Amino acid sequence: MNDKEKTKEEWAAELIIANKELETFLYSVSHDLRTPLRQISMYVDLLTNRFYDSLPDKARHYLDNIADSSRRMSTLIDDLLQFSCTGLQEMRQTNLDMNIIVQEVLAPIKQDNRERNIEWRIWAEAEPDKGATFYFLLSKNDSASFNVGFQNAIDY
Amino acid sequence: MNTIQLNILLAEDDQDDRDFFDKALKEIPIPTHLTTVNDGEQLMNYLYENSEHLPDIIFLDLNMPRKNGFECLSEIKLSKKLNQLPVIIFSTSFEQEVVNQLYQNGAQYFIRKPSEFSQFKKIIQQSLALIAQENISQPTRENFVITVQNSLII
Repeated sequence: MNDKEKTKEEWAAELIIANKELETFLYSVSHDLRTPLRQISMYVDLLTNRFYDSLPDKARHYLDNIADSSRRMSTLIDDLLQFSCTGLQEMRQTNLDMNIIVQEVLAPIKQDNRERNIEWRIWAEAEPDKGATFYFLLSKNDSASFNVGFQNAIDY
Repeated sequence: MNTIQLNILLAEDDQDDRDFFDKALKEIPIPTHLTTVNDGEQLMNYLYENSEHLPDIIFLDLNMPRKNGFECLSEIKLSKKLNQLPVIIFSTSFEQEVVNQLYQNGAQYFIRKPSEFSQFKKIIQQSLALIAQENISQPTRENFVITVQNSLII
């Protein structure tokens, strides 16, 4: 083994350790974030179920907004957690129809933004069967990372 | 288990979660008595000191200071005096590997803490009913995780 190869191997080993550390960090961050958020939701649920009728309209509106924001935050944390676990999964190669994925991800976003005037244009760059090969990590929550990307795209 | 009142021991380091648990127990139609400890070390000390009057069920949080839920579960299951105690894991996160390990280590059930109080209450009631039905035999792996969705079965 010459020096050049050795350096490369060492570099790869360090990279693996760094990735592992990042995954652990992400996992603990998302776990720690989840606890107070879950508790906020619990208190909102208690307030809603027990005092909603006696609250003024404005207070109800605020309460609904807290509930909505908590749910959104919860989804974000789930996505983050999912993302932190992707490195632990094995890669496998497969053919995917991007149109189906795009439609699945777009459906809820279209629903949420139905009052906004957004024109959606979806087209394929590559021909079927001859198209580019995409590599994905297939897991339970396939659409999570796509979803975040699309959502950010229409937000900004 | 044949006592009229179920003696429950909760090991939970978070004050809010202890309060939610206490509140939930008071609202479900099963007579219970709750004792709480704030970490794993306190839990094990309590169990060793009260080995003649052990609780009927332990609800165990996983992430706790000093001694975590994993360590407590192993210690309980390795102890001749304590290994018959049903331990229900009560955790914020859900990881398949962790859940498998907990099942292997002898936990009775796994519950992921819900985000709504109404569900929180339901799932505690459901787990108490299951413990009463199954007594202390470990369920099959498929029935290890309790979710609110299958609460209608009960």
